Amino acid sequence: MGLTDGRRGRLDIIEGPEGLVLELAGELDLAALPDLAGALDDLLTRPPQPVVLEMGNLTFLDSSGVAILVRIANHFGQVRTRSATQPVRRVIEVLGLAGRFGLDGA
Amino acid sequence: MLTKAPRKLSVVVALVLLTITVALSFLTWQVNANSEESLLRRQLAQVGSLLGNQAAVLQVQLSDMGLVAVATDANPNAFARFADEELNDTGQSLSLWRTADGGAEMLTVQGVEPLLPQDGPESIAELEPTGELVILGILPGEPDRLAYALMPAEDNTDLVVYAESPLPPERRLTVQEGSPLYGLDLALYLGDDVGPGTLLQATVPTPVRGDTETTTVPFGNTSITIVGSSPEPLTGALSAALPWIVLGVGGALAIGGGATFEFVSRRRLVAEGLAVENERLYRQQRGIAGTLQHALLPVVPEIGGLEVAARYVAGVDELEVGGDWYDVISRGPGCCVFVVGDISGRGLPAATTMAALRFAVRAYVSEGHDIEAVLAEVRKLLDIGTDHQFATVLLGELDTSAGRLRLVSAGHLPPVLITDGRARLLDCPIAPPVGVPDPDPAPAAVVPVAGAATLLAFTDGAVERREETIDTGLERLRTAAAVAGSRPLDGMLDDLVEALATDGNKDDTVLLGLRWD
Repeated sequence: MGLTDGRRGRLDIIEGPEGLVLELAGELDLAALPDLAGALDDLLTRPPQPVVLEMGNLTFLDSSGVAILVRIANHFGQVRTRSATQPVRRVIEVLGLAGRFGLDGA
Repeated sequence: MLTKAPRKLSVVVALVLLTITVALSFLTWQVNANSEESLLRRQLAQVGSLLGNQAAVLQVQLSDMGLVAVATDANPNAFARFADEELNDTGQSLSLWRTADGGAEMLTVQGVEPLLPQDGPESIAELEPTGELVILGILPGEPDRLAYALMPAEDNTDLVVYAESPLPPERRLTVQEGSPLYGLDLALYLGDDVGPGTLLQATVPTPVRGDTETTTVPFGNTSITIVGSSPEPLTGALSAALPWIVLGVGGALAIGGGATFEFVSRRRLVAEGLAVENERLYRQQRGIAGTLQHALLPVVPEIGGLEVAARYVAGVDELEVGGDWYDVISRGPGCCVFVVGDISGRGLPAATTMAALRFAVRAYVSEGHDIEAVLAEVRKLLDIGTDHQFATVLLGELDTSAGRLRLVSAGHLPPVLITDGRARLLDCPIAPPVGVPDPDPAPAAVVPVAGAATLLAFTDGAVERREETIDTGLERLRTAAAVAGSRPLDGMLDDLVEALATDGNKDDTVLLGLRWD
């Protein structure tokens, strides 16, 4: 999105050998939604396939951000979450979505 | 805007600049005055040299005449011839005297008859053969005359040349343009005393006015005191005007500086005023959002054997109405179903979804469904795929007479139970939020609640903070709830609102308290 502010939420789509990797960075919250709308529209037109959510650089996640992730997960079907920090992981867990994002036993 | 008095600081700025200006002006004036003074002194010195020259000329003239007289043994014709050449001015008197035994006898005279000093020929008899010009004083007459004499420096001579020169009417000296004296106010006095009696000549009525300078030059056996001033600035009009120019320009700059400072500070005040106004409008907007939210939320019901209180706190950063809600539906004395929920997102979509879910829950509960069934029904109302929202919902079924609390959570944080000053977060399986499919619904968690207790349900605004894990927020809430648990229910909720608000709570927050004995 060309944003220079490291705090702003970012969603980068990487097509690698292991499939589609979505790199999430910064703060994924209500304020980030307008910035991500373009990337999200692009993403949700792709055919269902296994997706990895790379959350290593995700510093904050709120329910609005989770709503986006749920839409992505519902669209692609099979979702795995990688390297989520403890705060991010807990947000997903207390929403009862650990299983949906493949956080179980991770 | 200009009707307001200037700020104190602006006045100070103007005064400081003005002070600097006055100081600069004073310095300029002083420098100019010093130059003026030294220039005037130099001019008077020039006048002095002129007078000195004049004295020398007179001395040479008289000396020549005396030597001629000595050489010709006081031949009157020779003296007359020589003196006649020197008589270039009318009213002058030149005479040759022979002294003897304390007296003097006039041998011959050219020009007008001499007036002679008060002591008469005796004054002439007192002269010594020095060959030097002796000034004998100002003689009153028509006109007054300056008397002077010389005795040639010759051995065994008894001759004296005596002269009287008329002083101009009123002692007024007219200076020709081009003369070094031109442009100066000058007065020449005989001797060191300055006064009407010793005045020789002056270009202006005496005493000389203005900033005068005085210098004294030798004149024969006495001296002439020159008093002078310059009516026009010697350093030039610009130099003289410079202090005033500095004062004027500096003053204007000082006032300009003060005015600029005033302008800038007023602009800042206006800007600050705008900021305050914006802040007010912002709060008003926030107030509108809060008011709308309150309108969408229920008044807590009165239920026998149960105390119910709720708080809705708008997040500080949020202008839009949020999606937090609570509801309590009575199921008889000591029994109720309560719900706390939170729609993801904000604004009108969140608020309308919230209202829809709240009334749906109310309807299903009123029909007598248990909370698992209510949640299952509510799940049908929202789909994140089409609505782009989900809702976290906590449903509780409280039966105080049975000492039992049943809980189901769709992505919502479990409540805190406070008993005997201890607070604990209840254990409750969390299913995915409403809007997200839940293929395998878990049965309700059952918590025994025998005896007096307080139940605190809340939305994530109460515990969620950036840059900390949610467990930290949960622990903070739990601790605060334990501390406030002994307070009356309303006071307890107020305490909690205050405790949580100080932590930079940005999200909307709902607190719902249920208390029973």
